[in-house]
Amino acid sequence: MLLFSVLLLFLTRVSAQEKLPSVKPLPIMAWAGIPDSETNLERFRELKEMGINVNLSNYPSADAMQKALDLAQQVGIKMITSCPELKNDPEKTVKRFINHPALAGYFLRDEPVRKDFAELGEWARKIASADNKHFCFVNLISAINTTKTEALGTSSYAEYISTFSKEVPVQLLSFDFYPILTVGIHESWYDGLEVFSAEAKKLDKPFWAFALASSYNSLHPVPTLPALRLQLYSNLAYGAQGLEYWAYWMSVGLHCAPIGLDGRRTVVYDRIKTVNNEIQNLAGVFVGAKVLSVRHTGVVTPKGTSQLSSLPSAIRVFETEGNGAVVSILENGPNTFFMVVNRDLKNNLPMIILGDESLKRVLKDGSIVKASTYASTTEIEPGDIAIYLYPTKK
Amino acid sequence: MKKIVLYIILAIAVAGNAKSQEKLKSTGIIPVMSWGGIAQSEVSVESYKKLKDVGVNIDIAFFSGADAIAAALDAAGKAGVKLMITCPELKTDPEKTANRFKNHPALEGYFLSDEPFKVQFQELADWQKRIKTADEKHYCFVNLLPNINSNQSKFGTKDYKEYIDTFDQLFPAPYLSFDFYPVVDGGVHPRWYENLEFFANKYRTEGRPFRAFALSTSYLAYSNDAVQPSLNDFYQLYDTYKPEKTFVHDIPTLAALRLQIYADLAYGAQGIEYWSFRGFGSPLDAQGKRTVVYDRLQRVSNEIQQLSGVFLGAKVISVAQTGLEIPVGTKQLSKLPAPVRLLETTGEGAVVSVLENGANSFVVIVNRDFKNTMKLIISTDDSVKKVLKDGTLIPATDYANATEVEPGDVAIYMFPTPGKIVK
Repeated sequence: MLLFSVLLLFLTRVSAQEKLPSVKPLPIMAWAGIPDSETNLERFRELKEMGINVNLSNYPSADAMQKALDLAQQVGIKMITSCPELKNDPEKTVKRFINHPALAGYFLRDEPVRKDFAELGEWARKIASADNKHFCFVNLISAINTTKTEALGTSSYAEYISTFSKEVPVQLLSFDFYPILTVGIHESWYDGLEVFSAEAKKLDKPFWAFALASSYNSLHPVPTLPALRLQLYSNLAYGAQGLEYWAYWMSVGLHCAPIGLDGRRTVVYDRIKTVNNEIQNLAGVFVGAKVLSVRHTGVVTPKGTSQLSSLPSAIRVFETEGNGAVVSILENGPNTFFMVVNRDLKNNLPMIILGDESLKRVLKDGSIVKASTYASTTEIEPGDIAIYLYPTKK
Repeated sequence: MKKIVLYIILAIAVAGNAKSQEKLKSTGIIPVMSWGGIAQSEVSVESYKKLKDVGVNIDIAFFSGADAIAAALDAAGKAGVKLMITCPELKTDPEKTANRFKNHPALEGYFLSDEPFKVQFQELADWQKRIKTADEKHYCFVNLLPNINSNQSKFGTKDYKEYIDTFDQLFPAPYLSFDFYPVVDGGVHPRWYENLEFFANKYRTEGRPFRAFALSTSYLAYSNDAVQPSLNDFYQLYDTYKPEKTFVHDIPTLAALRLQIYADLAYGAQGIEYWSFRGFGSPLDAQGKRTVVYDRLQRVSNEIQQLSGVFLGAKVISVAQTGLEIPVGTKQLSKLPAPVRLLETTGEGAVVSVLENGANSFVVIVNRDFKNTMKLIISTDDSVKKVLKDGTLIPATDYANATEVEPGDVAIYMFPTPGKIVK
């Protein structure tokens, strides 16, 4: 009888909540991770607990890098890393680390301009000749202005990305844009996302994108939950296949990074942990997803974006009020996702959505519930998302 | 090239986890009761699952007959929800009705009355006695009036204390219950905390536990308590809206729900009640569909169950307030437990409660402001741990002294109860 009851309980639970299929976790990387002087197991655990699964750190020597990789392996973190020997003797250094289980890739450079590409390309090819299992990683400059790019050495931001990709053999693209300002959202952010995601698609390469984890001047406020959500979910709506935070560890000039100058956690640590947990519960939406379209709602849509003008057949009515939303359609195997991001950092977004019987709602914990069990009028919290699912048309 | 990136992602997936983190021990499930969550016309396992999913584990069933109650108990039981029942037969033939239902595993208790006056107490006590002759295992439930305005004569007693004490003497019950909906007209009702102080004090000095409410709907209330509009009249009331005579309880936000629930718990409440589930701004709309309030309620309900080890079974050692101006009937924080060296807040201030729960004691800090984040400075000794929302315990000294508490939200710190051995 007891066995029967337990079985019944189990069956009830299984049938009660449909969940997103379990997939690989989304890569979430911390820049300025654990400094060399703090390289110990507890610090790596702390990083992991915040929801970081890739750590980017430079080390003063190959031996220091070895120590960090060993610790990272113990807690289940991968490393994108570098040391002076990687530059001075790439082949020998790569051979030393090629079989380390915690190695994800080699960090070459942050924010290069056009004139740096040739040297980076040569370096990346040397590394690839000794190790074709791991990738080289370069982070590109943000698209503050997608057409005025003289400083980058190209005639447009798209050309900057495509030239880089042609000359530097990397497997994934990355760019940093910190759009949340004290006065609002940077006017070029979505323009940059549009260009970057379009170029990545053309080049058939995945891209990773950033959220600011600290304040680095008076223009950028300390990250709030809505600000983190808006950055991360907008990146994912545009098809990002990895997320990056700058900076994890405080340094002089920064304010309120997740780990302070005294090595203690700040309120931002908890906020990032909350959002990272949310995102991994939704990994089945984003990991491996193909972007079918990204559009915007609102009376005024951000520069460089397009107004939402058509809906998938599974959705009959869709309207938003207020400042508007990012509306992305992502295809991921048998499921297609209709993702709505509230662009407003301060106010809820009232939304009306009415679908056919195939439409389901994806809750924050990955549960899947028939959309028809919800009222058609709802609200999305500031910077937050609503996600709906319907079968992919084949 | 894509294969390499996939390899990395796969490697992330299979990489070993770090040592599991220390977690708060659960002391059980906090009772969370909805008032009229499921209507008689909607009784089904699916309907009750909706309640279960939002975090409700008890529903009050106000039904028109015992047969309807029987069907509801069966359905609720299958969904994992218990019922506080009432029907006309419970009044006309209490013994027979209690005998019919007393062995049903989904029965929580018997609902007798909401907000009675003193003149009704004896009748309720007599009714309870008749039910008890048939069923000693389950309890009878009455919800009492809040102490919401200065008109003390309406209770039928000289004051609120006599109202509660008289009821408590006449009507033995495992806990007391009162409904106060404090978030009103964009602010917090000035007498809410005073009412919580009353029940916390009764719990502390007489050992009488209590359960308290969060408003899970929106409604207009006239300042004259005798004229309460029905929820269905909400829209029509806007036409005749007179701000000087009307209080507006807006659609509950996440922060407003958190403030009510965490303040209740900080004051020692041993259960939470939600009123109501129907009407404008409720968790379920007229068609029984989930609204945005449902999602908000679900989040908070999940949160509090992960923190049951803090609240369930806890003794209230002290409750005090910070801020330049503290609510009526409360006292300023003037003393900290020894392991907490410094505690300061900015803005409106906080409820600061010290709860003892076996070998662990807790400092519970609730941001009284449901619109703005509160800055909190806290410095502790090495024995203190921060209790995260998922029940994870982290040494408090791993955190910077300066932190923030989101609107209406809570920060909790744990330290060993003096004189108790941690097993």
